[in-house]
Amino acid sequence: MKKRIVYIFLTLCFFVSVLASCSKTAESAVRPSIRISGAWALYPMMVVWADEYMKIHDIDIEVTGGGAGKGISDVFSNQSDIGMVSRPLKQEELEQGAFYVAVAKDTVIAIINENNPVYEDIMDKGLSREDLRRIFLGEVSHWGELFNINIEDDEIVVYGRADSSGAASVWASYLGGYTEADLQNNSDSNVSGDQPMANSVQGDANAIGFSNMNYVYNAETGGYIESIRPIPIDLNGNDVLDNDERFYDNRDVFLKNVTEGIYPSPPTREEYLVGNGPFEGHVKDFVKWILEGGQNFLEPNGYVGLVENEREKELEYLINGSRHAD
Amino acid sequence: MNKYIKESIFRVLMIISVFIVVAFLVIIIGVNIVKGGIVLINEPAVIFTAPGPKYLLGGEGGILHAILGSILMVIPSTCIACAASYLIALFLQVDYIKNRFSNKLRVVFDVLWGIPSIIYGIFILNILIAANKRGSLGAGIITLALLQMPVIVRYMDEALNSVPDGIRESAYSLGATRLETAFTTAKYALPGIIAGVLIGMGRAMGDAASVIFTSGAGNSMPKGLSKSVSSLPVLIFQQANSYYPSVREHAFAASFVLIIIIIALNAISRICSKHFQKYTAGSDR
Amino acid sequence: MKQQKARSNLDKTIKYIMVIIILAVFIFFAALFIMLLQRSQLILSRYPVWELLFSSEWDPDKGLYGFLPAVTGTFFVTVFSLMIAVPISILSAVYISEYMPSAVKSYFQAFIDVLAGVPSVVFGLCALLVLVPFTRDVMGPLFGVNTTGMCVFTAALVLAAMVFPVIISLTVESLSILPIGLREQFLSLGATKWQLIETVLFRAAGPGIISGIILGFGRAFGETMAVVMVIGNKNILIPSVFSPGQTLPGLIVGSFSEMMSVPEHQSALIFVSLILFIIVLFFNILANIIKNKLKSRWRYE
Repeated sequence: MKKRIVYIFLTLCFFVSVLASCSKTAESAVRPSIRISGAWALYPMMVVWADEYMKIHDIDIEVTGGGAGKGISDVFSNQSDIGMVSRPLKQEELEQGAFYVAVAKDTVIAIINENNPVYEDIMDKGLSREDLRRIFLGEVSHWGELFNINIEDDEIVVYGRADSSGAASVWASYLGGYTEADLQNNSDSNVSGDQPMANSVQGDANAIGFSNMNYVYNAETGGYIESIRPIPIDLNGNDVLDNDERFYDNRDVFLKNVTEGIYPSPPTREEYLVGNGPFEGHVKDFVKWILEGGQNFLEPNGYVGLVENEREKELEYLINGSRHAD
Repeated sequence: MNKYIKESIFRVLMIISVFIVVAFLVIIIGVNIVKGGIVLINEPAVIFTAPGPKYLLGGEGGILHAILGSILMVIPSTCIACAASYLIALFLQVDYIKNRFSNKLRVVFDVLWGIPSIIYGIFILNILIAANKRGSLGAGIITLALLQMPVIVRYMDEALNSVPDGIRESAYSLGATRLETAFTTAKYALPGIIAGVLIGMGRAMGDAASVIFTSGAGNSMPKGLSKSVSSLPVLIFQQANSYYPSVREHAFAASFVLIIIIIALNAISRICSKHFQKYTAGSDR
Repeated sequence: MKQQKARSNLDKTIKYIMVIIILAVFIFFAALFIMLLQRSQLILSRYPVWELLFSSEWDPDKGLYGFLPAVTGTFFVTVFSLMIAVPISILSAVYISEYMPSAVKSYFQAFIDVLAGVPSVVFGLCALLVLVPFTRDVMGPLFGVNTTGMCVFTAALVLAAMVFPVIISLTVESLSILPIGLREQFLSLGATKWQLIETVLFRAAGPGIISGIILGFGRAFGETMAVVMVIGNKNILIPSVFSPGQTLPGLIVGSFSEMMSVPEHQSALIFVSLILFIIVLFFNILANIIKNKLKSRWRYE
């Protein structure tokens, strides 16, 4: 009996000492540090930025995920220095003193399956914003109705997002000032995350959804991913896809039209870094580096950079510490 | 209806039920073993390497940080929860308080069990903010201990309840104190206790929501009690949403590892319980 | 003599430690409740409780917070899953404890424990891969409905699979402690095994089985990840089992970490937790009363 207690005690001691020694070695170095938390969408990119920045500066950067809201409230409660946000900031958040700088862009596309019953028509004529609005709000129930043809088994299956996400809110506002809940409550089913959305559309010929462009185009080869196809938008609403509206064939061409602003915004959105008031000290230097040297790392990793004049504007905001140009 | 026909009808129904339960288990474990096994056979290094900076963007690296993070969080938290739960479950027995009170206490634990884990996460996060601390391994351990405690308490309680009164009475009649009697009854109730500990550990091992709020969930290797760690479920969540197919495949490798850890812990505790049961009155049942 | 004193002192010390731990748990319980109450003040001060609970409009961006679809959805999914899980798990528990040879039995119990330990994320992943296509391509056409596969039915199936081990292990536990004399006496009267199970064992093991069902309810009610992944998360009053629905934990997990910096939305989600807390508390007290009533009626001595 006694022996056993001694053993248990010894193992406990061992555990405590291991943990204690770990924490000691980690805290011994005193270096400037930056703590970052927030949106999962920007998280992988931030890890790369942090790594590159740490190579050239003597600084510790700790990046964690958690979601956009967590990023902002961490900043407010002084848990972190920078919050990553992948959706437009809400009025309530700005009132609490949030300061933000755009660092990257992202875009959302409507997606269908290549086996869609009216695939040829869609690729040839595109869909106007009004068509898309009617589909996503459940006012059209059959693919054939869009082109006034009569076919079998063409009931539209609309997928939406279950979780609060930047993609959903941006897509809803593109469709005409709707909210995420409007999309969520008019869909046939909702999934959490871009990848489950892509999976659902892949598995269903009649499906339609929306997702980040990286789930449509392969980031390495630039072609489409498996059976997912983007829906070309008929921008001028003349029921024909004109030559300047045909830019969906591969990633590079599409990206060029996104950065030039031919593909509308929204659904192109900006991703922000948020601080509790203007950035200062080495945090400001890091954000400044992201807007300068850091921009080069965006494209190789599947993200979209800011255009030159936007970038300069954001840099000005950062340096002035205010988003009002005065 | 003839009673023999009824007997055989129910027998068939029972076999069908067992079959359904087994089918679920086989599907769940099978899918993971096949999907994850293929990945691990092709690149076994995944489980031994730390992630590189570009890991989630299709770059090189592995999932070692999450495996270590999970183990470092779950094992200490299970130890803490076990010790506390055992004392609580003992206290709920007739030896210490009246049944009337213990029934009311049990409701507390049932309620705690039914609360989604994210609320535990929010609660600890509020405490962390009040104490001006960041999410860390230590906070994660405390959260997971709280999370699995109600589960373990209720299982231990049911197991101890099912010990025949005779064993307890004969221990008392030999002059044993309540504590010494408790050791005897614990041996008898061991299978139930172990089931409870395993279920509690499974809950802690598989929980992502509370860990995201309290342990930081960064992509770095665990460095100490006050530093952030990640865990397998959080990583699976990140991987499953990646647009790089190779990263998505790794999600199955991670869940494969998760299941293997659980099966291994299961086997270890079974062997331990057999070892202790050799010496008890109930060993032949 | 001295040794005896040491023994009883140890006994007393441990008792004090127990009391301290129990008190700590109580403080935790109370603090949790107070935190939920305090954090949901904001939403309660802006909207009347009845409007929150009995409106079915959910659109936080427009200031519409109606929890009715989620409340009914949670109940529906939980009850439906228990309807699947309870008969199956009790029947298989009986088979495991009464019919199986004891050599197979212990392996089988180990199997069930593994199933119990499988994390809910893994359940969710497998459900997406296997159950969703199954519901879409097999069950949907069988009942003549169009479904995406992400619906209440699939969610209930997943939950049932998660509840199996809880009910089975507690039922087996409470059946196997029944004295052998009880069985022999009844069998010697010429009864079949099923008659024995039906008339004697179910009653004698009743309280244990009911605790199993209560705990199963707890697991199903508070389950988040696995359900969120397959239920379709649509805030409507569920018209059929093959349509998507919404649950209370789903509301929290879907948007809490994205929206916690918006005070009103955060408060609404904390209020959801408060509702969950109160419902679970209420149900457990009720179940406890029922259990005690049955316990006194079903005594076998």
